[in-house]
Amino acid sequence: MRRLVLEQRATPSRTFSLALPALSALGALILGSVPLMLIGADPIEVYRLMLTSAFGSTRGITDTLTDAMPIMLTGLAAVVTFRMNVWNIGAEGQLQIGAVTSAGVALWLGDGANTVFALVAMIVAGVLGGSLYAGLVALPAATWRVDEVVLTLMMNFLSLAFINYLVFGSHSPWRDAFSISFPRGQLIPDSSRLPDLSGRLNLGFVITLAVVFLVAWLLKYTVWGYEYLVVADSRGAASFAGINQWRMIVSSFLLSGGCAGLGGAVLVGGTLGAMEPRALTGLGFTGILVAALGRMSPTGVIPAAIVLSAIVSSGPDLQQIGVPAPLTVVLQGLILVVIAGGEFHLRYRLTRAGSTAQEAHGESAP
Amino acid sequence: MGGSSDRLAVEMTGISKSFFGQSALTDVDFEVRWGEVHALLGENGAGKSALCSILAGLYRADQGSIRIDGHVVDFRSPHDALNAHVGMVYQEFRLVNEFTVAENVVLGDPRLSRRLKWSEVEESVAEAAAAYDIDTDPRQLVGDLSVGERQRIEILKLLYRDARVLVLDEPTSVLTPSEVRELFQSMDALRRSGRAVILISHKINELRASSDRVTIMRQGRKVAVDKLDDITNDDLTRLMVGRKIAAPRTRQSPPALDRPVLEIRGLNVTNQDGRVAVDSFDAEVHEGEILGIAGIAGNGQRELVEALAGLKPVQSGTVRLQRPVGASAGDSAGAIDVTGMSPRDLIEIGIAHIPEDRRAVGVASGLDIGANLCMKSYWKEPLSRRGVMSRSAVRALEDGLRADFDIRGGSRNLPVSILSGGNIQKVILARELSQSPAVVIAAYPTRGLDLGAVANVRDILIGQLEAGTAVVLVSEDLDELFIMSDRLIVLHAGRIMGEFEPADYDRETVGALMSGGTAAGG
Repeated sequence: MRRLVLEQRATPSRTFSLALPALSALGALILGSVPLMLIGADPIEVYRLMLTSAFGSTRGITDTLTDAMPIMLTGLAAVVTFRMNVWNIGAEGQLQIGAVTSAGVALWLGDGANTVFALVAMIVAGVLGGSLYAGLVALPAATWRVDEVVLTLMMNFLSLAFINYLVFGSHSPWRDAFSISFPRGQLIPDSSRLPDLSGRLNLGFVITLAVVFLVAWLLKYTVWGYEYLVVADSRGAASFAGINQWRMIVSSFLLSGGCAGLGGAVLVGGTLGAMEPRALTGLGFTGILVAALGRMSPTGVIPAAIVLSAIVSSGPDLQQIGVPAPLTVVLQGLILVVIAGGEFHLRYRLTRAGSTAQEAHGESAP
Repeated sequence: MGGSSDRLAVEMTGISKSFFGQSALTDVDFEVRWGEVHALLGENGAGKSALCSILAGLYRADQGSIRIDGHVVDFRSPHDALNAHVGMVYQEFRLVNEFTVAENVVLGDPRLSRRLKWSEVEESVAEAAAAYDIDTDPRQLVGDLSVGERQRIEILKLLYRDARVLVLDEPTSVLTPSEVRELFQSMDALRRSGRAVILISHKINELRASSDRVTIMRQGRKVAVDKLDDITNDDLTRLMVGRKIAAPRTRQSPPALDRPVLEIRGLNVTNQDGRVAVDSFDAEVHEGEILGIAGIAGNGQRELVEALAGLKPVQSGTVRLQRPVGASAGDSAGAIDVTGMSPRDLIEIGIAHIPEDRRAVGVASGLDIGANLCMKSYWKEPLSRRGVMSRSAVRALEDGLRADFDIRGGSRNLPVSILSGGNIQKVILARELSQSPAVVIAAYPTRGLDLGAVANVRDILIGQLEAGTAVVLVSEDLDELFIMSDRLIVLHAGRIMGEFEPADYDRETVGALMSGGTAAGG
């Protein structure tokens, strides 16, 4: 009688690792039908509505892509440090500071500036803002091994307080004095607004895609990327090969913060047109989910962000058929749980005891 | 002890086990009698440890049955095994350094009551130690003991739990020659008390000195079992390896002793706790010479090697390279001080390094072979240009070195970790030697490899001498050092205890110096 045993795979299964995100989403949908049925909704109907809401019309598609843009960037920010076992969970704050610096530059340049120059300046300001904010953590983390998780987490509270001050503070010059019902920062001048492509979708999406592919290229084809992969794989081997790890940690932090900061810039300069604290919170943490769903691959964040954006943006439509919108958050959480379970199957497989009988060679046995 | 003499202590039948989808053991039968020391001989990866780990309850067999003293058992944990009087001493000791000897011995003993009195426990441990003739103080911290003493505590721990079948996994690999003799005396005492002792080893001399019978394993299968008195060393080797191993190549040309390449003067290095690890180390290595450094692990070799590779700061002293890469042979004007240089500068100047931890330091094990081969040259053309890697150049490098160094297994884009230990070491050698280094510092380059790979690695290193390379070989395997070295330095507690020419190589003398004694007879 053979029993089922768990067996560690020598290398993670390749096909499975490609199919995992799709399987995770599917698994989450199946699990998600349980709470849906508990509140008396028909899961099939709900999922069909979600699908048509997110992708059923031009308007739906552009909305989904627009909302995918910032989490694609915070997801990329997470990938860039997580791959190296550096845990920058401060994309949240870096995005907010990027929003502040890009809004600041746009407001400072004013209405009369040359549009191309103003756009470039605003984007660069957002990237640098996020990057430098991450740099504040990178230096102590790389130099004295201060725990970057605690630091980046705390920095998120600082940036939130700062952005709240700028928007709500009665003396803040950046506050939009004319907005009565809905507190927000001053609207940035039109010359600094990213032009719309279709519906709410603006030029920021193209910039975002370009940055995702740029980071993917950096990792795969450059000397920096090679050194990055060596440090990510083995710190021991890296120091032995004479790779400066301080430089690699700091530079990945700066790149990560820059990606998140760009997220702030495209929101302020595009989607929002002003600093809106509520619309600028939670994106960094969703980015971590995007990175996980994208399997820590730079280009993987593109489909991952679109899927998560589709789930969230269908919330309002679900409410119309009596399904509470927060249920979309439940679905997001379930996806994360299913991914974690799937990771396990990447590394292990179930086999029947004694069914594999190949020749062992070399050091393969422990 | 343990039933009538016609019952077997251990009877394992048809044991099969696979890891990672690769079978480690195939239909192995293994029998041990009461009152014998039974050696389990085989190369690394032959399945000796896997078989014994199943016996000791660490793994469960996929197939097969185990009887202990005639009773069928099915161990689900080492705890189960110990309850059936079967215990194992692993290569990596399972002791808590911060605990005393007594605390370690009784750790996990179910007989301990909740309200234990340490004085009574210590007394009982002392009694047990006396009964088995083990010299120890129950109140001493295990962290303060030598490796040999710790091993005895591991054995005491099993005896205290009334283990009657004891498995010792490569117990001599960490011991000095005199400690090995003491261990063999203890094993003899255990045999006389009627217990069964299983000795895992791949060293033929050792089991000849200690064991009654031997079971030989190869590639996960049992190939033979015999009395040691009835089998010759040649037969043992042949059965273990399955093929004849060519003797190490003899030297083509003698080293150029008038041409020093690396000069080390008064080198002092501290370990991470700030204690002196290398104490005024002086040495010269010449063109085409292998300088062997003998010593028991932990006597400053690691710090010496890391200091020479630029991974550890040098407290004082100098290291000079007489013939940096680029200068012509014999050109003494090109000598430079390389003390405290960065790893990158040392690589550029021609000091290559075979690190002791090949899987964690020698390679980035998750990256593919090509990425690992270019790790010491990727910043140079043609592998990269203006910050962009050339994939075709990396592939060309991989194909070339794969052929030159006969690297087998794996394929493009698969992690180097799936290669066997010997092939991983060839990847490292290929990378280091293809840079045409002036000096190669090799730390334990053959440790843990099977005999075929050992011969390969040695041949590659010896082949390097013809090009005038100087080699520093750090090892704890005296046979290897005697075969390979043109000169031998013995290190103990960071100090040079003696220097030997090949004519004076002698196990006892060198062994005594390794353990801090004086050279017998000068």
